Amino acid sequence: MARYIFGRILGMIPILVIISILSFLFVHLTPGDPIRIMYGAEMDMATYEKVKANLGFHDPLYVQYGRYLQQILSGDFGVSYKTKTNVSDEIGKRFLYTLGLTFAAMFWALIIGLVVGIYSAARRKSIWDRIGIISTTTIISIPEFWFGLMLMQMFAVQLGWFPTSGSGTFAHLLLPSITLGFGVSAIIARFTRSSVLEVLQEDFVRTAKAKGQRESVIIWTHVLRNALIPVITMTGLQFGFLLGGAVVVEQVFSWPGLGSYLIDSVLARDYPAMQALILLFSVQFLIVNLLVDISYSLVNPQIRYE
Amino acid sequence: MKSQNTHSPFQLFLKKFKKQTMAVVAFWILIGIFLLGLAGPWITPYDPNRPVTEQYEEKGIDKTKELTGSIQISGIMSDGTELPVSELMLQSTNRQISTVSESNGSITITPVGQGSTTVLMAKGDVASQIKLDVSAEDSPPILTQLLLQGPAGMVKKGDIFQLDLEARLSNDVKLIGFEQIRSNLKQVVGANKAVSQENNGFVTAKKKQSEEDGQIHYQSTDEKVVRVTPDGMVTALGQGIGQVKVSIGPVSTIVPIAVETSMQEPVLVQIQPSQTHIALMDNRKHQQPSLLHWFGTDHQNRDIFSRVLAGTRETLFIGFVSVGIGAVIGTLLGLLAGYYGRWIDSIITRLTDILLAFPGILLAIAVIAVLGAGMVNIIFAVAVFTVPIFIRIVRGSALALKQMTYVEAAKSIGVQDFVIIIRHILPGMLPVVMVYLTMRIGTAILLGAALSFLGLGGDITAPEWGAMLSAAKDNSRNFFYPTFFPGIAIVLTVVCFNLFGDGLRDTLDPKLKE
Repeated sequence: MARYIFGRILGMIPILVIISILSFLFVHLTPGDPIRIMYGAEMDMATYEKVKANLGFHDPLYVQYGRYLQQILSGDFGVSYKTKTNVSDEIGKRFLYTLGLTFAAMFWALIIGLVVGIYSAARRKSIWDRIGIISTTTIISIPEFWFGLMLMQMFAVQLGWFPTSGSGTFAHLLLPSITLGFGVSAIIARFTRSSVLEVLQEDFVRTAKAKGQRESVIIWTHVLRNALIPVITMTGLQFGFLLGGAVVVEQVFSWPGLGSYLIDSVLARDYPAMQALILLFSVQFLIVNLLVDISYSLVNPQIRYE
Repeated sequence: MKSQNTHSPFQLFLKKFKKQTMAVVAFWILIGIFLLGLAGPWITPYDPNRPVTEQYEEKGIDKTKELTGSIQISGIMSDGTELPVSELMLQSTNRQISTVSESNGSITITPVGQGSTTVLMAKGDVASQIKLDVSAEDSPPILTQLLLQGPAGMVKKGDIFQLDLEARLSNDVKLIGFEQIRSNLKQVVGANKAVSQENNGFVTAKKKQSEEDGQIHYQSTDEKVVRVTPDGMVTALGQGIGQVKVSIGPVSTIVPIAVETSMQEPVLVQIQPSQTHIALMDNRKHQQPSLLHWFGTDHQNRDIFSRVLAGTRETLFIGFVSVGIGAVIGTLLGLLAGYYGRWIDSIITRLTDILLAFPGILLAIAVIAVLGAGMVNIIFAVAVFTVPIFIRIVRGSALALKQMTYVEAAKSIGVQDFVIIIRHILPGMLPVVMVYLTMRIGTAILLGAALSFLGLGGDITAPEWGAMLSAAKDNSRNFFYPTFFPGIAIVLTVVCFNLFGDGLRDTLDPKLKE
């Protein structure tokens, strides 16, 4: 096990290097001159050259990359072009908001997804199962930003139960987290359904049925324990997706998280912030995937990795 | 897959597919959507790019009556008679919201912009106002009229009495008595103040005055005849006909008081409009859904129904082209990886894993961050997001098909790799590629719309569903229809693609799982 984890972590290093190179090259790949974006377009040649030299843009690329690597390893992501604040400070401020939103969304997604998934699997081919399948397909097809706008229109504007945007209290969190969790709940429901159906075909279920156990007992004691293992993996992966995928919902509800920071910095061509966020999201992803894989092999000892 | 029945494989497929009711229904709806997309520009009832007001004339629609308001005005005299009034002084508090004009005892209100304002009508010492909303949310009521109840008959010198004050609000609430008015005044005038402060740059001079607005102001026009205290106690001093004027903000009224003399001809004490509150539609933007505009109009008064129809083509185009590009590139790379294997395979697989680990939207945003905002770049970003999925699928099928006996036979007789791929491997994986093509189009439309919505699509004036949502999002708190209908169009299209894709998958390859 330890060897597997160690191997996985070693395997992450080349990916991390590639990602860091990509995020470094980002500034050089994008059209437009970063110095002019940073300090304004009107600038005489002499000052321009001076600024360029000061920032080390004259050095060969590998020297610049080395410097960049050194910086990010010490946790310094530079200063935002737009707000002139430290990017790492800004990320630190916003990270908890995104994390909170993600947890809340996952909470709703799990509750709805598990209930619907287990129920449709247990009542396979019933009318409720049909409704479940059709509604999950529909939910997956709903753009989450639109769903958010509709929720906002209904519960915040018409009924006035919740604030339309902002953050801080539980009431602020409710609409964005439901919006975000809704789509995921459909994915979890589908996944749970097929996983439960698969386990229902196992021999031990047939044995339990032959013994004359009640269906609800079979589902709760025998099936769920086995069926939920892949669901846990799936949930972990979805959690990773939500952490980065909250971009749109954060924008709809003006939630001060990392997603809205990313959009703001893309629109403002704020390179240091973009670089840092892309790097951060990638690393976050690798870590979540690693944790999912590890937890999977922990929960299910039958899974052996090479 | 291909059985040796007497039927052709295509007929076999059709037979199986027909059993998938949902998918068949979805298929026909999709055909309908395609036809709408093709016919879009010709069947829109209005030009989707121009405000409808410009088009009413050419379509022969007369909308002036619904857009301008008319109010009858009558004057009430001190003896209770009602007379028509003329030569009113009319003033719209905010000319950016509406203008007013008078003709034959009625006033005509023409909206200019959006919001709440008041229209003041005054003649001499008497002034009333009405509240005017143009396509605005509910705003608090305002004070519209004041009425003083004077003593009915003659008053003796030295008499001290209280005048009964009555105020009427724009929501037809009557406030009777000094105390009741004063306690309600704060909120009522506060609302007025907010209105006048919205009033662009000219407020600074008025500011002081608006602070005094909160006061009930009594004034006697002839101090020799009557005197009045600030709380409305009137003292008759000398013989003659005096007048007491009371005003709250711009609204005022008078009452004549005859002291030891008989009342002469009645004077005007109140201007009474037939309506105290009028709500109008802005003729420049945001009309409600109606028979004329099924889905309403947007912030530039363009017909949303026409725009949704016209947007079908562009939205489908984005979905198809981006998935098409992604599928072609993905299939090529997948074939390379699956067929040739070795180091090509490991590089491509590794890169695919990295790309797949990322949420699609982040990947797309990163691509747009490099390329800049714009519709073409959105197509490209969605294509990049589609590539790894196709690589993975195609690589898997190529690995399986490579080991087929007929491929090995072809290899052994020295057929070129290129020919083997084109003739033996590609046709074998076509069903799987087709299934994913359909399923991905829905996802691509969703992703494209999300990117447009985030403002990364560049042009938000285009009639494209995502761009329409993006343009409408700023007003989404006040109006639901500019966001509701394009969103429903997206949901319907994507649901159909997904159901159709599901059915296709179940027919072609029941083992496949998403």
